[in-house]
Amino acid sequence: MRYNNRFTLSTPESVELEFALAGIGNRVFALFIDYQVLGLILIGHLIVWIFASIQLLDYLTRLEGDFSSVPLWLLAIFLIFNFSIFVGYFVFFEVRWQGQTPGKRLAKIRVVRDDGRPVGLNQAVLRSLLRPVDDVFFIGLFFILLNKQEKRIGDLVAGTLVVQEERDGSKTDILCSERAQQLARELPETSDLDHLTPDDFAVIRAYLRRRNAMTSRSQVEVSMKLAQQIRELIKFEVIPPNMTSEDFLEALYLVYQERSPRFD
Amino acid sequence: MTPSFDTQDPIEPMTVGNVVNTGFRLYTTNWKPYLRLATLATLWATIPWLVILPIAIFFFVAQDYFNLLFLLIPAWIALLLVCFAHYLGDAAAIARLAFNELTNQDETLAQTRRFTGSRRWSFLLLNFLIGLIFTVMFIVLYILAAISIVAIFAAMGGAPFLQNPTAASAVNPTLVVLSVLILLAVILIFFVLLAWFGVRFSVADLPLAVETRITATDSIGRSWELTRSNVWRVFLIFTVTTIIAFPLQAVVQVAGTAIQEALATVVPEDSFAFIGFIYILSVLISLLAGIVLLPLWQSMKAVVYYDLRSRREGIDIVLRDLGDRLPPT
Repeated sequence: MRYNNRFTLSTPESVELEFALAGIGNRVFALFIDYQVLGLILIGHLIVWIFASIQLLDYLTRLEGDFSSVPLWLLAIFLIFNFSIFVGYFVFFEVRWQGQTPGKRLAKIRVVRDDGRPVGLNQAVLRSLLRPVDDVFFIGLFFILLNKQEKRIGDLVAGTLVVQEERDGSKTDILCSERAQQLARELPETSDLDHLTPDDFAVIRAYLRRRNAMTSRSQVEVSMKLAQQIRELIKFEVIPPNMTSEDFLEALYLVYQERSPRFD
Repeated sequence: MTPSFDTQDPIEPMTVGNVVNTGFRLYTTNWKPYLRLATLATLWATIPWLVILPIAIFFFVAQDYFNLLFLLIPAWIALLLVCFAHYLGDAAAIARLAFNELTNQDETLAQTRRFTGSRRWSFLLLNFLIGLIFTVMFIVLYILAAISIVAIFAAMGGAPFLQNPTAASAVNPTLVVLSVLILLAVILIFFVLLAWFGVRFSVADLPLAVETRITATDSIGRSWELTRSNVWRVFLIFTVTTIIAFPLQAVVQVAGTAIQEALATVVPEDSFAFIGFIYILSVLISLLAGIVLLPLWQSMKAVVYYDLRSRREGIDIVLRDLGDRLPPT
């Protein structure tokens, strides 16, 4: 079962691109983060405005003349700036960071045009200007939930989609023991590695990458089970003395990495 | 062996947003059984309160037989516990169904209910223990917060301030600002700690709903162990879920208000019938909101539990289609 809505896009060159749509969880998460950041910026703006206004009014009272309309002007300036920051925040980041804002970056999602190209200024501005509309009574949230392509009003008008980032597979270095390296040299001769599929190697790699975050008990359990099953698959019969299941899995990883260097 | 990057799906733990997506997806694709279980659970939870009504009317009308209360109150408490245990059993069934789906296990609704139902007394014990832990923790944290506020205040020379606030604040105005800031900081720490503990115990009922040979206390321990070093992420997941749940709840609320307004045009607003109807309506609305939200939280907890187990125990790290490939033994 796939847990994210997907969207397939055919380019004019008839290449099919498939995206995983961001989904309500990522979008609310990203917005939550962005609104925290934006909130801080707006508070900073308010503080600056208050100090600047006090200084200015202080200065003006020492001059002669009628400045009674100044506070109103200051308020107007404040409101315009506030609005510009609100709209500008999303426009600035979405244009500069190719459809990402700090929140979206954290959530690993990105805005793209309906045809898959990066968003431009027009799209970013439209999305940002319609954001307040989407926020009223959470209209945008219901649009995202009910619309097949998860578009809020801003997306519908601007012709944009919010998709998940291609996974970069966070490249954590896998440290391999010396015994594993030695074993990696012997393995191709002593066993039948062709019985392993790329999928199996992906599983081994996933284990090696993630083992440090696992409890020590589970590390032992998972590595033992994997090693045992793979041993049967590749008919690896003679076990070298002192070899642990961790060594064995590391060795398999090294062998595969050597054969297909793109497999990091 | 050719390098391939398109494995069926990446064997990677989920991001915060994808956990929420998955919980949501589980709910929307299985809303029928989930809502059915949530309705059953909620009905169990309402029985004790429905029973109170005739009893209250009886005593109100009779104005006698008050000795019966010595019998009725313990009986009612027993009923409350039984009903609450049933509620917990059915609520846990939703979580179990969700977890089964994540791990591709087949189990009928009846089997699931039977499994969690057989453990309903353990669920009751578990909830009692959790309640106890939180009560004690709340009191301890509260006392610590109070002591630290007083101590810091006194250390800053707050005693004269208390005796004569106007004079002291004229002498030392920063003290006022500082003490407000410190008060805010202590309150913040108080809530952060409370949230931290909340997260640590957040999936306590899941192991009991899913795992074999496990007791209520084991289950609490499992939650504590699994959430270690993932507190922040789980906290974010539940925060995002709360934000999404809020508008959904608001829809139910708005519908209720609309009915109320519509009714007000027909029935005079101060009539007994109107007030009675409004009361019943508000009860129904809160029950309805409870029924709608219960599966969301149960499936979300199931996904969190699954994600934590894949991070901490690697339950998703398994070789695929192994049965077809192993040489016959």
